[in-house]
Amino acid sequence: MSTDGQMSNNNGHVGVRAIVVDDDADVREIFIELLQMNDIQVIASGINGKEAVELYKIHHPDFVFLDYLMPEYDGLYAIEKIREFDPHGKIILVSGSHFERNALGETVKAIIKKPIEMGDVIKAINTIILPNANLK
Amino acid sequence: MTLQSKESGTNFSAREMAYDELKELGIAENELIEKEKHLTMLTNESFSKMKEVSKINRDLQNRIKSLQELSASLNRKNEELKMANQELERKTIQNDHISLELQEKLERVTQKEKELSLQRDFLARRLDETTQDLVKAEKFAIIGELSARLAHDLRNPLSVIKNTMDIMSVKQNMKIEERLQYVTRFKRAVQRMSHQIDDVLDFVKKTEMVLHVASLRSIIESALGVIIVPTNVRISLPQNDVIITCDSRKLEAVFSNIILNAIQATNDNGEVKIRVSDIDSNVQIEFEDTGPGIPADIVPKIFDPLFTTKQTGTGLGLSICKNIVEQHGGTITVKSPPTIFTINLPKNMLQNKTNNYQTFVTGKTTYLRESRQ
Repeated sequence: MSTDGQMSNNNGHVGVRAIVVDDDADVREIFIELLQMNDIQVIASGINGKEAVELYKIHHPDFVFLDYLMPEYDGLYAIEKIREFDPHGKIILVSGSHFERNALGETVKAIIKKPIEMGDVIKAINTIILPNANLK
Repeated sequence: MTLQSKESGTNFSAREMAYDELKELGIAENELIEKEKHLTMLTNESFSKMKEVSKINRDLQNRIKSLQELSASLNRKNEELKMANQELERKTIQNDHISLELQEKLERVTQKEKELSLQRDFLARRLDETTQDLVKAEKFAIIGELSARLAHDLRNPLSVIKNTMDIMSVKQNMKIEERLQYVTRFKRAVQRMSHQIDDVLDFVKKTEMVLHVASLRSIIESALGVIIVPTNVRISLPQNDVIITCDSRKLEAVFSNIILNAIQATNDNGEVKIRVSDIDSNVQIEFEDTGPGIPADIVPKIFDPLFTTKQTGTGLGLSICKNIVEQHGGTITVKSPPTIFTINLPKNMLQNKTNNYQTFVTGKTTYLRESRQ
């Protein structure tokens, strides 16, 4: 179960600041709750790619959890815009579709598939922030 | 006389005798002359006869000559005729030959024709098969895309259910209100999933048609009954009514889908006009909205399955509408701007559709099932 992963990795994530962007309110709210239960501070949330870019500029978070298919401004829009002003920005794509990571560029550090498995989220964060971890 | 005188003395009787003899000689002489005359006459006669005969002879010769000539010319003509006959025979043989050749050629042509017709049949079958393969391939492509879309759409509510479960299993001692909040999320997620699945199934399987005699106006009215019309949108209903044989429940779904689209097109501010026209054995229903219109590049794709301009849509709504209208033996078209959806339906689809359907009649209701091919 994902709960095991959550408990054992709790200490590593204290102080991690994140933004959650998803057009589906239920998905967004429950995901935020789950992240916060795992000591990940969610400083803002949005409903499309445009809001993702605006919130990123304001908060400069450690991570952006970004949905892909969203009305008007999708995830790809946010990925490209954020890369323009912060090539080292860390985006974790959260999507119901299948993606090839290479096609999305270096700013996308990980891809989490829906339904969201919290263990995968924790693992992805560890791989990105722990110094000895494989950065790929 | 001299002799008579010298001898007178001697022989009187001799003189008399001579006289008699002379007399006899004279007679004989006369007789001779007579005979001569007669002979001459005879000679003349025979001469003239000979002349006549020779003339006849000449004539005959002439005739023979001309006959010979005639015969010769006849012979010549006969010869000519013989030659002509031979020529004819030769030509007849030649003609027979040609006729035979023609017959052979005709047979060959007939054979070729048969071969060609066989080839044509074969090609027609191949074309049919290829078309069917293409249709199948297209169907598979649609199914592929459909399942990809369905999978994607199901993952959001699935994620909600899973994560809510995650939270609930950590928070063991929840207050009832908090628990209710999670239960509401479960319910919503489940509802969304079943709605999405229903939509896909509606599209994928053609269900039985349940036919009634119904008033078009009443179907339009009940279609409006399931729609929340925004206050700034005016719906103008047709004044007239037409009675048709149809699956009213299915048509109601078609009408509400199109009316809902029309309302959304006006951006919740405008008018939706519904018109009904009675045209011979058909009825035409038009839905016109005051929205900005559909971009020209989108119009041809609007009835395609999975095509949508909305983020939350399955892209199946209008495609399902088209299926239902076509199940009724009707057509649906669109033109824009102003956007007008036009549906043409036969008033009594049983009249011309029964060949392709199996019918079951119970009381006033007729069930139609599309025959398998």
